[in-house]
Amino acid sequence: MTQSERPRRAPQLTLVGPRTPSDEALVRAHLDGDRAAFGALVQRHQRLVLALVRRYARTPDESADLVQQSFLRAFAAAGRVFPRMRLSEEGAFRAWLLRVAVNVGKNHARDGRRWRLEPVEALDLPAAESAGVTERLEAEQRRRLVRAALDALTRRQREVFALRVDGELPFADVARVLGITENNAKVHFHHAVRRLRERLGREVEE
Amino acid sequence: MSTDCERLAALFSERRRGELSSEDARALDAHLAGCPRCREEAAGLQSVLAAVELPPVSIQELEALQSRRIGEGPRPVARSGAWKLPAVLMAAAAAAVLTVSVRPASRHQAGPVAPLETAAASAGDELLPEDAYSQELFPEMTSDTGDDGQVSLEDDALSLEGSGLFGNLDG
Ligand SMILES: [Zn+2]
Repeated sequence: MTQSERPRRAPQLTLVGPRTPSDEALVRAHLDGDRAAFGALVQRHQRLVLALVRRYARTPDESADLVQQSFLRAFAAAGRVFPRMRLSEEGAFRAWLLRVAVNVGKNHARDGRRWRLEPVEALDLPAAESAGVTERLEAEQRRRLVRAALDALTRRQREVFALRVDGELPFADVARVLGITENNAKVHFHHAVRRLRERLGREVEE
Repeated sequence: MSTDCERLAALFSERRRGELSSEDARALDAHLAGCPRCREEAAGLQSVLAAVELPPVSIQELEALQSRRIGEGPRPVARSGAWKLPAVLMAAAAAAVLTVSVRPASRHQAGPVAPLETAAASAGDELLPEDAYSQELFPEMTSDTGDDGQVSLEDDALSLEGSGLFGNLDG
């Protein structure tokens, strides 16, 4: 299989028209032992997976870890899940992968209470960047608050939120990934944002 | 309370991203004009939407991603756990392969996406052999939220099943 050099686009544009070969055809090829198929799937989806996990990472390297973990986990289940998955259905693999990615991020946050405890000194700032330190710390503080608030969402709310806000998917696509109606996705989103607002309160309204 | 009340945040989100047709935008304005409750919520919801967005993906993140060469696949992992090569090698190797088309570099000055701390971030995250993963992923059936809030992929499988991606036709 060739790496057809399809230009990667911003994550929000990922679901457009039929692709050749389809994800599902690639998954089948992968299960049949075609090693290039995995690479093609990664190439196709890693930007969007990155968008979904990076909220939970502190460094670019850690983001890459989480992307890798997402693909690993999605494929580790291959033997079990893919045979049952209706691979004739366009989008089945992508839906699976994206939901895995959302949960990899979430689980990482749970595992890694580390990042909540980061002392300020641990932010080893290069001199050149020390100018913006205060802003950076504030930004980081805000990110922590948001992550903690996200923790309080229901799983469905968190999925909708991540796909919409981090993945920048249109609601129709969010709905497709989650197997719900678009209206339902919007309602979940609304309640997610309301709940975040309750949690974040004046933090975001200064 | 109309359905628009329950989609207000979504409508704001769409408007924020320029996804609302002018017709929908007018409908939203009309709804706000006639619904005190939504008017009251509007500012708060919008500031949350603004506050939760992440900065754009940085060049550094894309480079880290490319140099990981994830596409080279899970096979080596199953054997040796060595898929994640030493960073130095990776960087050298990646220089050649870096074909990312980055969204133009004009992006934010205002601060790197990921906070700086590098060391030890992934020290505890050694990749496991495939079957260890499967073990970890599918120990027993677990309920949606365990004590620790962990979500298992088995749940994913189940809910995907429920959503019709597997055998059951439901759409
Ligand atoms: Zn209303």
